[in-house]
Amino acid sequence: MELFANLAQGLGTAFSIWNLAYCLFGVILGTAIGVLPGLGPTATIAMLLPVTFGLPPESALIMLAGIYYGAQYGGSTTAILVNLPGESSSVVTALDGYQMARQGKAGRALATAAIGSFFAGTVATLLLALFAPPLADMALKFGPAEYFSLMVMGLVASIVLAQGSLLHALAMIVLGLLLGMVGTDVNSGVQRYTFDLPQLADGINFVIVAMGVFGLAEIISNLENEGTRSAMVKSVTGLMPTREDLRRIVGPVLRGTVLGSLLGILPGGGAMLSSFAAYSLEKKMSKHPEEFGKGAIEGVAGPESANNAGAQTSFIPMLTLGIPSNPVMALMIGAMIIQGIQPGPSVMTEQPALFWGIIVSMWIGNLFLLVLNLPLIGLWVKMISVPYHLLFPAILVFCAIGVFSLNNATFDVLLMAGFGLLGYVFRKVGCEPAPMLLGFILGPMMEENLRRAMLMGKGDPTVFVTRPISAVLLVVSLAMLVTVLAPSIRRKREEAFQE
Amino acid sequence: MQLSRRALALATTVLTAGALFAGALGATAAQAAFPERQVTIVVPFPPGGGTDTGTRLLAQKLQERWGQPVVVENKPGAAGAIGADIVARAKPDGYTLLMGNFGTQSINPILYPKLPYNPDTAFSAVSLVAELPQVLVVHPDLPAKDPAELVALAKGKPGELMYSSSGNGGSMHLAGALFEDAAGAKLVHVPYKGGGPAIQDLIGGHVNLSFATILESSGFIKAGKLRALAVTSAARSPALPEVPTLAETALPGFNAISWIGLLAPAGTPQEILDTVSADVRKAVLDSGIKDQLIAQGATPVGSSPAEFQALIDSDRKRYAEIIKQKGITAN
Repeated sequence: MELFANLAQGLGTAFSIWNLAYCLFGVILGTAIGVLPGLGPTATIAMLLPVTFGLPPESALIMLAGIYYGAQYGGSTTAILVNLPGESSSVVTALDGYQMARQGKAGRALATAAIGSFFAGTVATLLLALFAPPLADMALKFGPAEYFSLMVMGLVASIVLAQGSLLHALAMIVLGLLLGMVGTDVNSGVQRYTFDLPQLADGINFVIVAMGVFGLAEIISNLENEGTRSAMVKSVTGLMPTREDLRRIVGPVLRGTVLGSLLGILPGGGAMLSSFAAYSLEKKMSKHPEEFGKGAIEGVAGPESANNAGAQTSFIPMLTLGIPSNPVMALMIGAMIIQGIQPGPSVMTEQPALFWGIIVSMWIGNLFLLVLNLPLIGLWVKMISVPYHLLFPAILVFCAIGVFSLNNATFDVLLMAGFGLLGYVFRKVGCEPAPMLLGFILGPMMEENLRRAMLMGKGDPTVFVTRPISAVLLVVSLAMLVTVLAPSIRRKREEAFQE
Repeated sequence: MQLSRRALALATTVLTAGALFAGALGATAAQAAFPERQVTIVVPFPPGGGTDTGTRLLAQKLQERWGQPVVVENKPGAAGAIGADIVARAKPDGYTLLMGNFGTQSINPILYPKLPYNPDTAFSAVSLVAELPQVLVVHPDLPAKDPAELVALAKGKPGELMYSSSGNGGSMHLAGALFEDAAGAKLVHVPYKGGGPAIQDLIGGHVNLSFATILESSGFIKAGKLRALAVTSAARSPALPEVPTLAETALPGFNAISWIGLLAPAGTPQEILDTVSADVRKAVLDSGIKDQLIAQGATPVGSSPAEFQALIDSDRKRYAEIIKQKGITAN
């Protein structure tokens, strides 16, 4: 019954007219920056941080949280419409969402993303309200050995992401792993592949790579193709999903929600894995795996639900432990500190109005987003019928602004241009960039946790199998690997690709 | 119409002349009244961290005092070397300042021989802003209840106890190295990417102890998820007044703290350095930000440019020894 008292208090906070206004402002701003390629929530929240000084803490955090999940909604819009994933989580959405857009089904893809996200957000918020403290304790059980095994599982799953040749996919994963090594080694402090450039000492930012190999490369190859020059899409059919579409997305949305909610709790990059994992799962479950990568609606519904669920549950370690699971959460903690609130386990007991107010506002925010986004779909879809000579320069400018805003560094913009050329080469030689990005994200975390686990285990490699959670994750990875590599299944896979 | 256009032209001329005149006046008055336009403080770290939040508090107070905008600009990268380099190259007029810290000013010159600027000549010290004592925290399951018991435990099990840190050569690592040296004990150092994950694994019980920042650990101390044994500074911290110092308990003379302080490009006129230094001291000590800094685990201290420079130099000398002795590297 305590829950109802808490929720009542949360409702009281969230439904004050000012907090509703800040929530609405947050999600609108978040959607806007999510839609603008490159400009992410991190840069926006950093810029707005001084504004929050003057606000009451609840209002400040409600607004900042709104920006964060608003950007998750908005980010999938550009991924679907122009193949520009601004967040690691929308890389997967771009795979099938963009194909749907090219087939004139952009409206249906966007609506699917919005509905899936809303459902996932609702479930994840409820989970947060009911089980935040025990879930946070569970997340702490994840030590370096468990994280390593989780990353192994992610990497094995990434093979499923590959569309064509398995060899190409493996090559791209390895390339991603190598790119992920750029920077200062955490254990020894050695600089790897930095060429004495201080700009590379902290490694390459994910957004730079994603913008380059997806967005810029897309623009270059579109310019080469006479057919797409006038407008990217000739005809748009149906803005809303059909009854058949809805039937197809029920399963993916449910599975994505569960997967995303669970992985989002892990502070060490779990949320990032969730959309990749959901995509792999849907492709495995589907009766038509050959449709994936060519515009399968399940490939949008699953990952989008997973990524929104993960975005909500990643508040659990932040609110209950004061542990940031991503740069945005680190900024939220910064905002709390400036407000004189000590992030940590005591926030829930010492600041109940703040804690429950944020939780209730999240659900309200998700509702705002659904109401806001469904009518806007018509407008977004018109965006891709804008002639290329207006659309492409605009995308380029926003990409450059967005990448610059990461570290306020021009070097990063040049680096993005380099990755754009590289991405174009990949297209020419038939290599998919998605497995590379997954290798790029997982590689450094995997290495860091492997070496940390070995250091803690005094060089004993059995720690990975003697710790139960880690052992289970490794067994699952092994099973996945066997299914991919087993000859009979491989034949089937090849048949599928020949169709 | 004709008249109004002429009036407009006249107004423009008058305004332009006025602006020029004001500009000329401003130029002559520059030495007397700094600042006459926006001042930028470069924070060489990402937004949201301890150096950043402290700077934002200070910037707000300086803005009120000066009546000019004071902008905080984050230029993160390479352990602060990128932001420091930007300020090192800036015009030495006091309008571009660096919020340096213990790491950028005293440690980077030892760890990175190939810095893009000459750390000995690139900056003029302005003022120390705050000292950041660290706190020795252990997982509640560790039997040691006070610093003496921990020293005994660590000596009894050489190479068994593990401490997590924010990374190689960071303040959490160096405090651990000084502790090993002073206690004559051997610990296992487990580096992370930043203090947050380092504390997280300590709470989870994956490592045994940590020399954490007060900012990142006090919430867990209050909630009983971590046990504070001692602070690492020579005097007790106003943020944790009930926690003893290492120096007063097990290790006399122990002192390992981090700090943040304001610097200007070398060649900035001494009058400007003195003005800013005095204003910083007033801001951190007189006004409401003192309590806010203490709540963040920082002990506000203003200092003269000379005192601050002396601290930078003495820390560099002191840590060069322990870094050499322990073979700590960052490249």
